Amino acid sequence: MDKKEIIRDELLNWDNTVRKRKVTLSNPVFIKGLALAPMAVAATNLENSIILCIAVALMLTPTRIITSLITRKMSVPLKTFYYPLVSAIVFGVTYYLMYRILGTTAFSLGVYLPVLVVDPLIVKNFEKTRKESFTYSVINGLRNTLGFVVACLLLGSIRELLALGTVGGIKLMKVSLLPMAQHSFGGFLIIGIISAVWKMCINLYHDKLEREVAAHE
Amino acid sequence: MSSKSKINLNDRHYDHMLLALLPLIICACIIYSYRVLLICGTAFVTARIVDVAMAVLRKQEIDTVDKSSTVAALTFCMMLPVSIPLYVVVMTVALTILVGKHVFGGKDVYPFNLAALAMCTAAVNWPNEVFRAVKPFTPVNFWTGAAQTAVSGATRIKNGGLPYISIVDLLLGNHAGAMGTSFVVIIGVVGLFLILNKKITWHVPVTFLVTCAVIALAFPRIYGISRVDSLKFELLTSAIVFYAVFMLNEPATTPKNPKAKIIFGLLCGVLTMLFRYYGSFEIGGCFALLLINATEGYWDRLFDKKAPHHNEEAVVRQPAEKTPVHAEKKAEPETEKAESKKVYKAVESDKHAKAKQSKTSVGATISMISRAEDNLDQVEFSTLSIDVGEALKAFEEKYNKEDR
Repeated sequence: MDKKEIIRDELLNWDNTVRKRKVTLSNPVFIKGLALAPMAVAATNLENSIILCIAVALMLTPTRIITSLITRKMSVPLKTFYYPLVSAIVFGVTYYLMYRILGTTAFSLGVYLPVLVVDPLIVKNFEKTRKESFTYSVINGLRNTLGFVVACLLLGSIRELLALGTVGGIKLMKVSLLPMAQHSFGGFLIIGIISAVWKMCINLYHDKLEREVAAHE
Repeated sequence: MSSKSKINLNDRHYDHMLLALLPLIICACIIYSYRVLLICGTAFVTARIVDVAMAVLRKQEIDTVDKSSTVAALTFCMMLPVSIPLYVVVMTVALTILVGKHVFGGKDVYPFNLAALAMCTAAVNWPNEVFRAVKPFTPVNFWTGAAQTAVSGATRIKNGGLPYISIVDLLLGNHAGAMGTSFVVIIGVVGLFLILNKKITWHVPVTFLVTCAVIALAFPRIYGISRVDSLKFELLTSAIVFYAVFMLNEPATTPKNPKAKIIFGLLCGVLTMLFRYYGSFEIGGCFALLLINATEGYWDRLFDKKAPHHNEEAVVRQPAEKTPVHAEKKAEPETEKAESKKVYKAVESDKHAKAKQSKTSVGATISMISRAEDNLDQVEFSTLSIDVGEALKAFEEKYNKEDR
């Protein structure tokens, strides 16, 4: 399959391509708008972002696998109760593991770590009526986790840079360009701006693919 | 991309506001330094760059006559001290024009006053830089803004102190403060000029100033001096007069109806004083304006009788009000005489109406023709009977013929 055919295939099955590329084309945070509350409030710097990433990495895929295995024959109303229950149990294990790995630093996010239990990022799939296979839930869970990790690290770094002029504690700027980036309203504002830029990049990429296909033909 | 754009009334307003800001910029240059021009220029360039960039990104025409961003940027600059770092100006103006204007749809449709939004953004982000007043007639570094700072009158009042500033200095702006908000005489003259030339209306500024004055007089914050002196310091040390002239008259964010304007000014005044008395920042007027901006459309709709929803409400409400249960009860005991009188009156009025109709005036003729047309239409519709089956058959025959 040469490059031309790959591009054409991508364009023809654009919806499928978007669904597969969770990091870029359908990022859970910047495109789907999931996990906005913990991102806007807790991801104020790189350190907090890493803690959030670890929590999501430990929770998202296991929750998805367990629920996909157990809730196959359940109706949607039943799933509504079942998903948060599973996610809460998984969070218990996650909390213990995080305490073992990070010590008391793991609790620095306060209520925004436990709130992940009912976040759409973790429990969104209860509304789906389609049955998920084990492989599909593993792959999709990992893709979503990767998308979230990229978004969270990017947002944390940008907010820290704008608010304090540092990234991961390393001084990069003398002045603080936007101190309100440390606050929740600044977080929402920056998420909005990044989402707009992200979407613009996707549109540009789509246009580029179209141009390439047209040029080949 | 063409650069031609239509000029509307709002654009003319912004032209006048730009001219009105000019004396303040000149005075600030004289009292502080030419750094004022650097700050204003930076704000202007940033605002234009953001406007152009957003027009390009949204694939729209570049509006060359839109001066709302420029006026907002310069008005914001007038509320800053001359020592303000340039990155504060750039970041605030860019963020305000982007989020406050273009996110809401751009020119003429943004709901919040841009200058007030910019000032609040700057105050929340960089309070140390924004509230650092500079002493007049002292050297200021052109690039860095390093200067001899002093406590402004507004800050002194906020901290429970008494500003020892003479009335002449208060009126002429010869005291530590922001770049352009302390020249009360010039702002007053500019405001009078704008009102007399009908560039702005008196409703909002006068109501706002009177409300602020009444509250300052009734509830003085400064103890140990008379109420009048307290009023003098309250009004002249802060930017209240500046708000009244330059910020409360923006056409995009101020009501259009005179009564709505009075309510708007009144509420702004009350909230400004509340923010000044109990808020953390001295720029209570900006926060108050942003809060009241959210209700601007409501006041217009409430008082504007020409608004379509108002008429709809009136149409719906009228019959309900005119036919209450009590009215029906009163109508029952009417005698036959009263009824016959009513019938007689109705017949008489009918006769008058017919007599009026018979007059050969143009209006009457037109109305008669239109009425006749209406009647004809009614007759046609009432007597016309369409056989759908027959019509379909005819259509099919015609279609087949054309096909052959």
